[in-house]
Amino acid sequence: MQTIIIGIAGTAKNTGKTTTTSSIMSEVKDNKKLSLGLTSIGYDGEDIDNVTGLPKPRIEVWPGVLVAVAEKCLKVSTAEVEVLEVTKFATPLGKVILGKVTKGGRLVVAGPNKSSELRQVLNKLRHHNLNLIIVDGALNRIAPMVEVDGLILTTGAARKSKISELAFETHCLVEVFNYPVLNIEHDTFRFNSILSSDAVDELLRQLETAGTVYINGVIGEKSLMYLLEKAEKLSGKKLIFPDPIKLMVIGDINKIHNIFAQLKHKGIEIGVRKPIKIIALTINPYYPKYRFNSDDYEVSYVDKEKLYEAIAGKVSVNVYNVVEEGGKMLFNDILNYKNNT
Amino acid sequence: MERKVLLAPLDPVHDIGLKMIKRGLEESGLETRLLPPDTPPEEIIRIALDEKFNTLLLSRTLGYGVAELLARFVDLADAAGLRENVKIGIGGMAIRPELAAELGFDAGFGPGTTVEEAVAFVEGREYNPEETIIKKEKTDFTAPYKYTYGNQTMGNLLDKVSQQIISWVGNKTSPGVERAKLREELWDYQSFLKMQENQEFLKKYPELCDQVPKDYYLQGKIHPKTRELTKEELENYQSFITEIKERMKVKKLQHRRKAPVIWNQYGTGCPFMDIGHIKVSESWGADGVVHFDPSWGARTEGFLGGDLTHQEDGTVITPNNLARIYQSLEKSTLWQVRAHRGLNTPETVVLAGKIGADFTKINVCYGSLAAGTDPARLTVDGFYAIKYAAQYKMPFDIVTNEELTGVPAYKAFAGMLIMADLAIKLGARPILQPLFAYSPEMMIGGQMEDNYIDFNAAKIYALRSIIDAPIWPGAPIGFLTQTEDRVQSSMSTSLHALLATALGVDAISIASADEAYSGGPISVPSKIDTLRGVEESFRFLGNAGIKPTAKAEQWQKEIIDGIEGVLKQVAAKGDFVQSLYDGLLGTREEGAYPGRAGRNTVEEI
Repeated sequence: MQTIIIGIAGTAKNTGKTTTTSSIMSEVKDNKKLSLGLTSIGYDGEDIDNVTGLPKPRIEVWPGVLVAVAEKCLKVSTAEVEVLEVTKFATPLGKVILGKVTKGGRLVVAGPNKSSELRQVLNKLRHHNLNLIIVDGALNRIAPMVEVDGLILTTGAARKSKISELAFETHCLVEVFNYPVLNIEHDTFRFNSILSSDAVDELLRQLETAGTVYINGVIGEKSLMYLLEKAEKLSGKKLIFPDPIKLMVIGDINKIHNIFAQLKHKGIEIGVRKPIKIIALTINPYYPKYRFNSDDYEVSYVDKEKLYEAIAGKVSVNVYNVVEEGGKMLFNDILNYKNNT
Repeated sequence: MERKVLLAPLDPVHDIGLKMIKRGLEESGLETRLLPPDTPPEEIIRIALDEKFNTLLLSRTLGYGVAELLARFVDLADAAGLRENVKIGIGGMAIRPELAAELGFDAGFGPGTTVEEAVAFVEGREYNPEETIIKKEKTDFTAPYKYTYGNQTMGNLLDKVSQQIISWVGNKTSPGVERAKLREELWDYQSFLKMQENQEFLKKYPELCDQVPKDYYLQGKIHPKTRELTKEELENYQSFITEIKERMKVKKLQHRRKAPVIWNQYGTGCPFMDIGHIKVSESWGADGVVHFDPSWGARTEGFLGGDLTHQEDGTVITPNNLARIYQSLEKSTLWQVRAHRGLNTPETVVLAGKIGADFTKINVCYGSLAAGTDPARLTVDGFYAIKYAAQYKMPFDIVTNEELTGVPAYKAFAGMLIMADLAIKLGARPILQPLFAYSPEMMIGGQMEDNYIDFNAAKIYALRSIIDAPIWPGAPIGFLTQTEDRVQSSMSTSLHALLATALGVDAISIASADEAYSGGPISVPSKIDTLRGVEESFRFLGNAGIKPTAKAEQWQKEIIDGIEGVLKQVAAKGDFVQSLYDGLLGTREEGAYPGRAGRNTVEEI
């Protein structure tokens, strides 16, 4: 059986990761033939937000779901889980365990939080012949999502409450995921991460001679700016990154997209070795509004129609508001993606 | 394998926490490097990669948008491949494990992180907090004392008075003494728990009670002020205890010194709420809790039964209430049930002793001059109460709260010392409890205008020079210095705790910040205020001291002379009970009124 692994990544806290996860899970639950695995790269399912103090949505699981969560999650969950394996992966909340839900209820999900460990945990889950594995995200974190087959991105007013700015940023973000796939040739020069101006100087020298450079890691934001400043003759050169996520993590996505656009303008081709597909985008008009007077947060919303129109008009993927529409169409997109891969 | 630790404050300024951890790591033999504050993330990651560090420890004060900033750091580190070989921990004031997990770190270090915890993380050992869980054990702080007299004149006078009391009590008894005897002979705690109370006890007991308890036992009528907890309340009560015991952790407030033992009182009127209060006291570090019963209970002959609650201060003493409270206590928590002042004094000692109390409280002088019980009656009852306290190995404090009515300290102390000497002769272990407060006699006389230190210190010095006995100031410390302002109130308690500690006393009783002024139930936050305040005062003092002015020595002498003068008068009179009636241990003008409850109930056998 082919397993598909879906990651739910957000552009910020409170953009609807848990709600999106829950809406997909509820579709899986209705479809009795499908088996589900669940883990998280963060901490999810708590009653109250760790930062804003506002109530949060919870994750409900049912018997048979396979989970990979930290040991201490089990103590604070109402769901009961039979532990199948205690892995060696340590988190701040204890070791990650693999377990099977035996009694439904609320589950606090915190799992492996780095790429290398997520990869190994997902391999273990794969052995259980699941149809779908959901990797729940955390905050604005995305780096470990290189291990998934497809991404659902969540964004919304909690990221930026000004709709036009959010729409532009979302556009840039989807664009970065659309960078072309470039092949690494035998004469491609390889770097690890570029994290200093010296490394950029070396990168430029190699681009000059080798023509194509593969950065098997990241480039730092300051280094990228330095590269833009120094780069002159780049026509016909190629710069390849492992995957779009390595570009996402550099810094503010508008800025990064803009720098890459300028570099491309200088003639260099920028691409990725392994593409990561954004299956769909979910949007959330909710945001916690900070109140300076009382130093706390209150629940606020932007106009959901305007939000939808602004985002949908700027991106090439399906956009859903799962609170309004439910998860059916989103789930269909996942099934279609699964069938097509 | 050599382990290298890179420490980087992601904060523009603060790196004290990291510096402290760095010192600890180096003392554990680890190689460290601390980067300057505000080093850019990519540079931190580059250094960690290039110089092959094994662990990266970051610190950051949390604030608006900081969670996302930290998450971005973690992402960049992950994408740069740093996390394949380097563990990353985050420390800061608001960091908790849940937040560290959400942010994506390998570990989170919040306030109170120990160096061992950081070293264990660096060395890849599982940190076992069990090792650092505070292990508290009950201590009998009376054990080191020999009860010998440093002032032999005083010892001789006290001996004379005690002998007189012993011979006066002789073959006297009272309904209170008879109930205690019945409770002692026919009532068994284990049988009570199995709901198999002795029928003979149940038959005889009501005959020795006032109408209200009699009605309870014979007609099932409960006291009009009280009601029984409902079945649902009792079920909730049980699940509350079970649930809270599972996650209960005790705490220690003492810093460098072992003493003093901290006592906190409860007595909300409702045993359910009491347990909530007790659990707060235990969690925030109290070593012992004191059961506070209602004043009407002390004026009623006999105990009621059942799970009784009422909307007044003080929780009704019934076997059910005491048993439930006892069962809710942590193993390390000392438990005192006060018996000191009323018509049920000896029976309270027996009941508390059978159920498992560690300490009790008895003082005939206070009970009969300031708490409304007839002196003759309380002398007989107090005598037997002390004997039962000795039998049940319950040390007891001798409270001198008659000072609060205006009785001068030296007179109250004379009464306290008489009780202590009697207790020693009856094989018990008494504890001296001087009032540690803004003394009313000083308030009236103006001697404490300058400070609260000298007179309180003088009291301790005086008692120490007279007898080698444990001292437990109260009750509570700082009384009459507190106001309705919670901050001021806990501050004042904490300062008195500081002084008591500097004076090396064995125990102290502390009130919740709102206790002295509460117009309603004592609130949990105010209880915590006081306990935290006292903890901070211990941390502040350490092994340092407080130096009183020369006044302390002068007052010490005056107190000793005063006590001796009173004891001479009582000894000369040759009648302790009559001395109480006649005002030798506190006059009516001073606010000491011999009580009337239980008058004419003493009988010759």
